Amino acid sequence: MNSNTKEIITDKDLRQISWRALQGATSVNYERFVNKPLLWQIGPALKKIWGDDKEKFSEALQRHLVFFLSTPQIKSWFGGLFVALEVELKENPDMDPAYINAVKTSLMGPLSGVFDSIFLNCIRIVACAVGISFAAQGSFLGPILYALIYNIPAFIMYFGTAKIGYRMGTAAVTNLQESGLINKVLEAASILGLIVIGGMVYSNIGVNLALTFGPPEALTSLNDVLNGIFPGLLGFATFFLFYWLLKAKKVNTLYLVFGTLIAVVVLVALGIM
Amino acid sequence: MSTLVQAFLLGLLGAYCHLDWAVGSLYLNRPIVLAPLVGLILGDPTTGLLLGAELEALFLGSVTIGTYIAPDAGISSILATAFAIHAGMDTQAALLLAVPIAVLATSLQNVLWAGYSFTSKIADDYAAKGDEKGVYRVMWFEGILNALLKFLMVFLAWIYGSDSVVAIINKIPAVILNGMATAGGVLPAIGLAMLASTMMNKNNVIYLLLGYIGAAYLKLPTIALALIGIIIVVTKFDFSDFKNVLSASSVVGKEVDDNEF
Repeated sequence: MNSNTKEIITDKDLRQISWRALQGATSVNYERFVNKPLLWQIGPALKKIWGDDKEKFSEALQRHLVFFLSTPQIKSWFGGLFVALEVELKENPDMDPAYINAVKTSLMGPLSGVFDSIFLNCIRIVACAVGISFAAQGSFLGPILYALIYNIPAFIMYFGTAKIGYRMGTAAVTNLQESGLINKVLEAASILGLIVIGGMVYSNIGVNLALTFGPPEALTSLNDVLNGIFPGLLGFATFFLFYWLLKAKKVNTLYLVFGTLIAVVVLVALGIM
Repeated sequence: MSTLVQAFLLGLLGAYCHLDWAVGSLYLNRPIVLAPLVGLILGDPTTGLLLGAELEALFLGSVTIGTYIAPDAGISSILATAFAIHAGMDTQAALLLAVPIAVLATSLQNVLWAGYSFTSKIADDYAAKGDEKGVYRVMWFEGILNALLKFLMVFLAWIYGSDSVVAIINKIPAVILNGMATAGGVLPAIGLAMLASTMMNKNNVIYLLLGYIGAAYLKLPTIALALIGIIIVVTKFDFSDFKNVLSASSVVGKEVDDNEF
């Protein structure tokens, strides 16, 4: 295999990926959440990998502006992994670029579930318990210990995992290329990704109606009726409506967002939503 | 210290409530840290510490996880502590004054985060031109505007009193604020549809249904869905092939030299 590309990403680049992971939620949007901070994080590495090919570089930028959401403390690991996959893509033109986002999608939800539990529901609670007990006695050790207990494990994650992610990405893909499994794995990653997206369609989309009907003493919410037929029916339908508009009708997302905002405000004003 | 300087410093703490996410998600935008700092600014660190302990216990369960956006504990605790120290109020009364501002800060932030779908489009255009620095500029613009919003909420509430800020904001039609909050539930459908469109076809759409049904009827968490997915993938494809994949991905930092073939 061509070793020049492999050496493109150095330890210095991986350190930069760790540093830039700290900006992981600088800006958030309701449509794709923290996609731009991800691009900020791995952008310089993408430039190094694809910089000599403007078209491929802009494809890579667009590839990493899709929906992304993860626990902040695992973003270094993700950054290393994605960059490793990009390096492999450059080396193996046969590899389907869709593989990268399939991997991203199938990992971000489950790993964030695990690490949100570890950081927010475990380490943070311990940090708060210690911090509260000192602060309640009027001691500045309270906030200081709170900050340290929460952030020392966090920084070990930030600065210790970019390289692990990079090596895992490289090792996994290299082995796959050698054994000719890459297409099977792409298919498998897509299946995993779609199962995870299916779960997110239910839990992250909320489309609810405010309409009620029936006599005042037995007022029934239309929303409850619809959810009784199929839980989250309207959110599910909305997802497929957008999918169809995007894929079959090739509607520009700008119009989708604009149309959605106007439609929702009008429906709220009419008391329908 | 003049009111203006106090307002400015408290406003900076308000801005930090957002900027924490730009410096490593340190979780220093919580009552336990903010209230003592407010105490230092207003010259009563001890009360700040005590209120920090009390408010942190109160807001312990209120954190943003995934796409669930929690009410703003940071803005609430900055203003509640400031009101309590300044006017000698008890915590509950001070919170009653502070929480409406925090709720408003969250509503206005909803408007920003929904609106950022438009600036995302600008970022897409930069990406299409291969201009990564343009995308960074959009990100920093969005983040700084978000911090500025929180700065102003705290700054104005301290100078003019929370009642007058609430009164001014109430002039914004409720339908706009409610509409943006409601849109916050609908917009992820666009992001997820875009994501699905990169990998979904008529042969595998059934797996999206499986994930949906698992979450909707069985209330399975994502990790359970992913594990079921792994089982499906392993049974669907020949498992012996995947032994190599699994061994490859579990190798961390050592050479793969024990291939079986």
